Amino acid sequence: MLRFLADRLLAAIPTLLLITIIVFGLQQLLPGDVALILAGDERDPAAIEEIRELYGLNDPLPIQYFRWFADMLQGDFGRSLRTGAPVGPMILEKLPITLELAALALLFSIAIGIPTGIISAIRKGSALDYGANIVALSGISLPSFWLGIMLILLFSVQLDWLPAGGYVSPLEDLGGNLARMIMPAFVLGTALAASMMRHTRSAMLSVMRQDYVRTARAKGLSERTVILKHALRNALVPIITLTALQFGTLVAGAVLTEQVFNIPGFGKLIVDAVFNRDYPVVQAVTLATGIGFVLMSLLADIGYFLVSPKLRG
Amino acid sequence: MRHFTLTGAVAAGAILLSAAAGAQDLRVGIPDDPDMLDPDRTRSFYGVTILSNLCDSLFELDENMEFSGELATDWSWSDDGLELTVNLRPDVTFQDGTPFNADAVVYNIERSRDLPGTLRTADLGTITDVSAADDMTVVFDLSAPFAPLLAKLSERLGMMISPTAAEELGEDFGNQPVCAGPYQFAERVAQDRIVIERYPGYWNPDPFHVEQVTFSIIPDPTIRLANLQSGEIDLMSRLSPTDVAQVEADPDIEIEAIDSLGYQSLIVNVAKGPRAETPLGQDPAVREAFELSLDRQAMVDVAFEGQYTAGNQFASPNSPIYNSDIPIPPRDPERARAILAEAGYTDPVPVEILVPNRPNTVRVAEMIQAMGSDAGFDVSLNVVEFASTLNLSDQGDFEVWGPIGPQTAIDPDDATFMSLHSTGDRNVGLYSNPEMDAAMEESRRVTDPEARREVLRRVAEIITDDRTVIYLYHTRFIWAFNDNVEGFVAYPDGHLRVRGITVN
Repeated sequence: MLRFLADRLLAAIPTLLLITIIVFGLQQLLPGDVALILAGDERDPAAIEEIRELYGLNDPLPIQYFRWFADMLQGDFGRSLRTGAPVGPMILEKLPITLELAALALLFSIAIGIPTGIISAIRKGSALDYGANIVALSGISLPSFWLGIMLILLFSVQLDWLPAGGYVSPLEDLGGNLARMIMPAFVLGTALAASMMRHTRSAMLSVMRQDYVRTARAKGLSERTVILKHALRNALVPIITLTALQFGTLVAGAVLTEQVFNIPGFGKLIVDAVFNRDYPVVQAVTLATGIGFVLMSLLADIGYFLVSPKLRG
Repeated sequence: MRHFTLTGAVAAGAILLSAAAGAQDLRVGIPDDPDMLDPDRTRSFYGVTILSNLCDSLFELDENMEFSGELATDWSWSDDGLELTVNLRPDVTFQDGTPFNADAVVYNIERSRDLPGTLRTADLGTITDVSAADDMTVVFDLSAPFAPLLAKLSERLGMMISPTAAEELGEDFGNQPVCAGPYQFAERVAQDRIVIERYPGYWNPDPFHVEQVTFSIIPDPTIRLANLQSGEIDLMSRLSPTDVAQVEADPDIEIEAIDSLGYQSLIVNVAKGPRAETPLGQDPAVREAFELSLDRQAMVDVAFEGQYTAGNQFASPNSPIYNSDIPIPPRDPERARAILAEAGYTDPVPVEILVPNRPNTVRVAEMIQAMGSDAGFDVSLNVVEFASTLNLSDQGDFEVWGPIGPQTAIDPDDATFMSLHSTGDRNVGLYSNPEMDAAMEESRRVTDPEARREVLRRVAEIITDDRTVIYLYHTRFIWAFNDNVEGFVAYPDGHLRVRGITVN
């Protein structure tokens, strides 16, 4: 198991390297000259030239890349071109915020998606099944920014129950933190819960047709034991894969959700950095997200080991 | 559902408690995250808003646009306008205890010139040298008279930072600025908030009642308003014009609005590269016809619910420097078509406008497109992200660029020289008219306000005749605040002054 994990980690290194090179190349394709953006209203050619010089923007691209890479290996991610703040601490400051949001959203989607998926699989064709499907379909179709604004209008403006947005650290004020996180986590979790429900339903349906389920029933086990111990356990493998791969959806969804609820997390960081052509920030955020993906697929592998003895080989 | 209700009630309780604890704290919603909080390196609008509360300048501009001393007590110009002598306020200390004196001023001005990455070099104008005549007197030497200097010294160029802190912090100064203003830097969470608190050693504490100001960065105007309505913030900058009617109906929220000093315009490429070779770029008659296709008041009414001010000059019709002999020409599509026919154009004249993809801007551009089509023009829009329009305009890859305008313009020079003088840094279409150059240079030489106004009237005459910059409208700074805020005054530069404000 350890050896397997070590292999997977080593295999991830070229992937991550490739990511940094692709992102570095792609952001050079973005139209817009960072020196002009940094200069703003001031369009004194001497000042613009000085900015290019200061950030080494005149050097050939491979040199710029290797300079970034060498610094990165020493743990120096450079400074934001826009605010001048060091990028490393900035990422560490934002990471827990988005992780909390993603974790809450994931919890939410699991709590809603899996039970409804199971129920609609075992009651296939019933009114309950159709009802759940309609809800799931609307969950996938509702644009998250629209749902977010509607929730704010209802719970913050009309009813005045929840703050309209922002972020407080849970260490500072746990109640305030949860009060601010509940709407965004709901919005982000909704779309996910819907697809989770659909996948659980189809996985359960295919498992329920297997011989061992019929055998279990024939042994006279209670329906509850058949479903929870025999069917669900095997249906979980594709669901775990899905959950791990949802990490990407979560980060992508966080971009919109964080914008609507004004949460200073990763999503907001990368959007603003791209608009401002803040290359060091874009580069570091992408790398961190890439590492996140690799870790999540590792977690999924560990998950397989735990639920399915077949794979322990 | 019950689960959410409970959490909601707990949260609401927590908010009530925190509100009670935070009396005399002002929470302000702003749309953009500022850049570096360093007067020599910032270029963002809200960077200036924050800095102007942290850093006193040598001079200040009051709400009537008159200059007075802030860290200066008085000043005098030599007769030839080549020497400005400034006496400094005694007994002022920076927030780290460093005394404020002539040496500190010299340090600051030299830093604005020499700091790597400085953005203040154009503001320095014709300054050649700055020196300390004695401990509390500085002398600025100029190579030519420079009328906008006091305005520059009341803005970022004149903001004084502590030389000790600047030396110690180096590159990090912009993350923890130390100045001599009424508030000192407390905390910044990128893209979330900036907190400033009262500086106990400030030289003029009486007009300030607020202990702490939190600037929350909330980009979306609808969400910003929702935060104001739910009491998360007390005051918001830039209420969307389309929300004004709704907010006016709300008895708990008040609105203050004022014309900005800038403008929004179309810039015609007349000489930069092959794309200047268009009927609009080369033929003044076509530009005259194009202007006649525009109904500026309709633009303002439709796109901004009538909340902005239509205009045809760099100064708003409400400004004392507006040239009232040149009113806004009414739309006249028949005459536009007649002028085009007379100049020999039989088919619709093609015009391509490079439009920054900001929602309001695009709406205006679409109206220009529709208005042009029944006045003999075939207007197409090239809608591109803002940062890219900067590049394209810089390379001359545009026929017309806009609606666009300067971010800050506390002195008329900011709204004219850079875009109208043939050597101006923002003259991206390479407009060049010797008569205009002469007028612009004269406007920098004359220090007498009345004489300067006369020159600016002439500048307005020339540009409204040449039409290489076609002015469209002036945005208004619309502030909204809850009724617990008293004493708020809107300034035409759009920045927040905490002075005089109380929060109940």
